[in-house]
Amino acid sequence: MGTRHLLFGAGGLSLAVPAELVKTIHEQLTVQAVAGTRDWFRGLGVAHGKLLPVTDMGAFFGRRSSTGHTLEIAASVGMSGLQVDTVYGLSNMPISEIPLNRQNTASHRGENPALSSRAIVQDERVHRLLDVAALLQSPAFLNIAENSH
Amino acid sequence: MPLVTSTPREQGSGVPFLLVMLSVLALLVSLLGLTRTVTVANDRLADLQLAWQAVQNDTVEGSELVATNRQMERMQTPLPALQKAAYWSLGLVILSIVLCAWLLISMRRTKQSQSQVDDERHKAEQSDLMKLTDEIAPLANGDLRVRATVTDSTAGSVANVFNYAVSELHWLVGTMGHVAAKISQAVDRSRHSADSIAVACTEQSSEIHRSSNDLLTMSGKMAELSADAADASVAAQAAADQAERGADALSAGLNRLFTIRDEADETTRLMHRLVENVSAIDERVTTIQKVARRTDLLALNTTIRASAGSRAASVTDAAADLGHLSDEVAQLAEVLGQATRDIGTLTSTISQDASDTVQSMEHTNAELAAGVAQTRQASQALELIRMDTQALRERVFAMADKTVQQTGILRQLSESMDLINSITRKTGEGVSANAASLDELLDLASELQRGLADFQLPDKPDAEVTADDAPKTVKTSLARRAADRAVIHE
Repeated sequence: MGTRHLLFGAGGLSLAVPAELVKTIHEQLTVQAVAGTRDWFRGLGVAHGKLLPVTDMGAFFGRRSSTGHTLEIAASVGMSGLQVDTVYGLSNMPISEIPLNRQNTASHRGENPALSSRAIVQDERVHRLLDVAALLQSPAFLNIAENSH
Repeated sequence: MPLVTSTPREQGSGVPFLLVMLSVLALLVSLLGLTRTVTVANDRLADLQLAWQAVQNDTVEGSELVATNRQMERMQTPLPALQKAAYWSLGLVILSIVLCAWLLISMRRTKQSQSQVDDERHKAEQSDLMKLTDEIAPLANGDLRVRATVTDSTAGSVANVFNYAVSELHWLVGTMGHVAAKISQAVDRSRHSADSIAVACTEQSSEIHRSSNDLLTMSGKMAELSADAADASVAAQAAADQAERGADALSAGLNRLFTIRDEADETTRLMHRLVENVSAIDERVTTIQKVARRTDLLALNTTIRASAGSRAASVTDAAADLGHLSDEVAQLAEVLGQATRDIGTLTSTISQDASDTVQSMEHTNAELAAGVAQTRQASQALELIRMDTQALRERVFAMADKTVQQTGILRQLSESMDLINSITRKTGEGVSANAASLDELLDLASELQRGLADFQLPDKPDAEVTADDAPKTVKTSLARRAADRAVIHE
């Protein structure tokens, strides 16, 4: 049995993350906004008694803001909350290499290393596999201060 | 003109009359004098009786006795006036007796002389009358040339009157001829007027005949118009009947529409209730969808946690996850149960409302079908009304055309009547002229009657004159007038 992935959409992008990295899918997570942070940073929430930074994935990738569920990601490099629009479900489809349009993968600061060239095709949708470790460690994701480059 | 002359008898009778009057006057004067004498004597006797009574009563004294004595002496003296009156009375009585005697004698003598004069006069008058009779004898044959000899006797007066009568007869004959000529002219004018009236009456008769024909034509047209009006009335009655039936059908359809409206209102109310129930069901469905999403999410989280079970840190964390999961599942089950019960109740209500709505709609459909039938019947009635109205309109147009024709005929009739009026006016003028001529003829006849009334004509010849003899009489008069003129000019 292969690795299962959680398929979701954010800001018009169809994405996928390994299901083992998702601890919980929160339907409505109360988030407290933090002043002086970027607009794609939603704020801080509490999940299972622990602080959880929540990021708007649609806005982070330079698309429209996401208003749906919050994925609680628990990776070895840290925890984070990703607010997405729609959660499609789990998929056991194999990962394939598909040439992608670069414009769809460009972030507001150019090419985002978290978006890999691998993807999962489910229901005629192409979900790009999100590299969670690279995302959580990327400077763009970690730098949430406003007016900072 | 008769002459008034005094006869010797009348001249002789004036003196005795005067004498009688004088004697009567003398008697009256004597009677007045005697009356006065008796009155004065009576006064004197009364005074004397008073004086004698005073003396017997001894109421007078000496001086009064003297005065009374003087008074009695004065009364014993005769009055000169009384004596003079008595003398005059006596003289007058004697004079009256003398006059009466002389009057009787004079009357006897006058009577004897008058008898002699009368005999002579009678003989002379008989002679004059015989002569006058001989002179006027030709007049009996219509000869107006006769003239009587006028003398101082009575027969002369008669001759004078006869001559005057003959001259008046001449004038009368001439006047009658002139009047006859005027009458002839007046009769000619009357005849001319009568001819004019006859011609005018002929034209009037022709015009009246033509007007009568026009009136007959108009009467026929009017009869046709009346028939059209009757047909139009029948058509209007039919249209009215159809309209009444259409109105009944429309009224019935309207009642059905009212019923349908009430049922539609009920159906609308049920539909509103149905919509509200559907909205409630939608809310419940939304709730169920939320629960489904939460269930999906819970299932997803469960799957994720199950797949990550091997990576759980401890048994305590797994138990906590399971407890949390159990609570969420129980909560979802409670929500789902409540939503299911609500949906069941709503479904039952919706089913009942749907059944009522179906019944209402079926009844509405039945009412609608009846209403459609009523409306179709009303539509047919209206169509019949339209056809009747069309026929009525055509009838009215026909009546209008005939009315226009009648107007033309009436105009022509009016002109004919004007012409008749003009002819009648001329006829009236002719009749007036004829009446004036007749009046003139009447005046002339009156004048002739007045001329004849002044004379005492023999009754027998006039009584024998008849209408057939009138022209002959006129001719005879004309011949006599010519003869008279010849005699006069001689």
